[in-house]
Amino acid sequence: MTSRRPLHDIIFFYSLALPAFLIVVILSLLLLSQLGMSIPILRVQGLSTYTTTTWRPMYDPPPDRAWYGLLPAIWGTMVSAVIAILLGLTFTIALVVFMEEIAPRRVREVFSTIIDLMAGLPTVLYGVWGLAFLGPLLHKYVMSPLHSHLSIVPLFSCEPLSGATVFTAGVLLSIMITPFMVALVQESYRSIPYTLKEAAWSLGMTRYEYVLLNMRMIAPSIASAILLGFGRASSETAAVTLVVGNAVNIGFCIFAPAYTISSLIANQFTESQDFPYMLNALFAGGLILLIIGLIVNTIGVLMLRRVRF
Amino acid sequence: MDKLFTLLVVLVAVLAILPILHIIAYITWRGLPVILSNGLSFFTDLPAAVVEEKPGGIAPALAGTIFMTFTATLIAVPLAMLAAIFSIEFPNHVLTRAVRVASRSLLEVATVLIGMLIFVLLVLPTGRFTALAGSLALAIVMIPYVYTYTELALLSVPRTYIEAAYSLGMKRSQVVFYVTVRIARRGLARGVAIAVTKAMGETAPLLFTAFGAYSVIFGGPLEPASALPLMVFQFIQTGYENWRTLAWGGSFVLLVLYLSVFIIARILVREVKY
Repeated sequence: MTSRRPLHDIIFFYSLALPAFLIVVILSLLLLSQLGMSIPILRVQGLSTYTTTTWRPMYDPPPDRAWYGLLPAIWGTMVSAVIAILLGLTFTIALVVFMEEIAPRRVREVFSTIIDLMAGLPTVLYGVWGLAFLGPLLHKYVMSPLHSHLSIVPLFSCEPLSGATVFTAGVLLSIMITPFMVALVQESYRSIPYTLKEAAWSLGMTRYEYVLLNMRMIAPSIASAILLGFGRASSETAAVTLVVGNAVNIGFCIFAPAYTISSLIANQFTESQDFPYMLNALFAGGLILLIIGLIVNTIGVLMLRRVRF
Repeated sequence: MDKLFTLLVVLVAVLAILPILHIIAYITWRGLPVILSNGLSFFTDLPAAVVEEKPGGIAPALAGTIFMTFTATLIAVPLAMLAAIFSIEFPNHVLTRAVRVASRSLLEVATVLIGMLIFVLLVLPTGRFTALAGSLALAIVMIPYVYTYTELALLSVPRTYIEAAYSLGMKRSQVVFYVTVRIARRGLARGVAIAVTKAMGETAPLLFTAFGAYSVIFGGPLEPASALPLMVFQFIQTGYENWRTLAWGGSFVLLVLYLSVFIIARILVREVKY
């Protein structure tokens, strides 16, 4: 077959195929580098790298005196991402309902531009704002009051010492992931056939019942937004590192400083080259982040395809 | 009941967009005075020593951002565009499926991992952090955006134009580069603009590649370099008042740069018509 094609077509094919192939190679290298660099620490510590809570960099390699347990960072990632999803989903549904059902056209356009603006803002700018404004604000008006009145609740049981906590990270992340979740939910919401919407109205439904019905119809896309939002929230680095407090810490209280996997990497990478296996431990963190991300995103994209009318 | 529901929706919707408006106002409030009080030297000076009272300037960050964003664009745009053309021209080829998955994954992957990849490939073997390593990391950040937007833009070119071009007896490569790409050029430019906003706003991929350098404005491609987001990230965490001041000024410059490219991308999208 190939030999019958004219030469310029063959050149055309390969000059395009090579760049395409290179992109596939980049992703493969990304996977391989994370895996390859993680193997030494997994050889020494085994899977307990992911299930232990001690983070003790030492010059003597593990398992003797040094130990690199990633569970606190994994826990911090999960907690901040779950907070981000809960708040982000609330924002998302309100924004979609507001833009699709309530707002006049001009207002909707303004909102849509602002949401685009949110989506692309350099994340470090969210970070400095979170550090200087949001953290102190939440500390004074949300965390401290909740702790002093509701400290029986395990989530609020520890005293917030500053604004840099896993809770602040979750709130900041919720703002950052909202535009992505809105894009997903809004597209599905718009794909609901008008005849179905009219039928709902003609039954004399209230706006609340009507919206609830519509949301049920696009439930898979909401699930997908949750998963993809989780992926975004768990992989964010710069902004989270500035507000999460960066302390090795695990517990149910959300008002304590913590690490996420990405902030642990960002914070300890430079010094990790001085300690044996510490760099490998950070790559093991990167590996689990990569695996979580790929799983969550794959399921999320598959869910999205289930919305069909 | 229904009124209460509507009210609640409006309130939460407004609450959701308040932060971005406040961020813009707050960064302007903290950053603009820094620039006004330091004048042009804010853009041309090195950061002052920590013992001094004056903040100095952000020249190394500015130079690094310009160099790395520019070189990353030079690497990423041809690579991603050619790959996207491949996917359009050979939609059933196995490589098309693979490159779509790869692009989609690169889009979602934590960008700090991209920095770690370049660290393993380039920094560890050579033993040094370099501006070029930063460029490569940013190029990988840009690739999936350019790829996705190029694919979308090319798909939106009406089939009739392409068929007309073939009927004139043009070669396949001529049809693609003289007809399809020309018609889709605004869409392509928009993709590049969006990718550029991503590249110049990224911090995480630069942490272990370009690393940050503040003693010269720009040491060259094979020396460590800084970038605006990297400088903001590093200086805002220091205990030195004048460096934090510098970080606020840098934040404002980054914000203005972002808003400019955002507006350019908007103008491009408004004029995509056939």
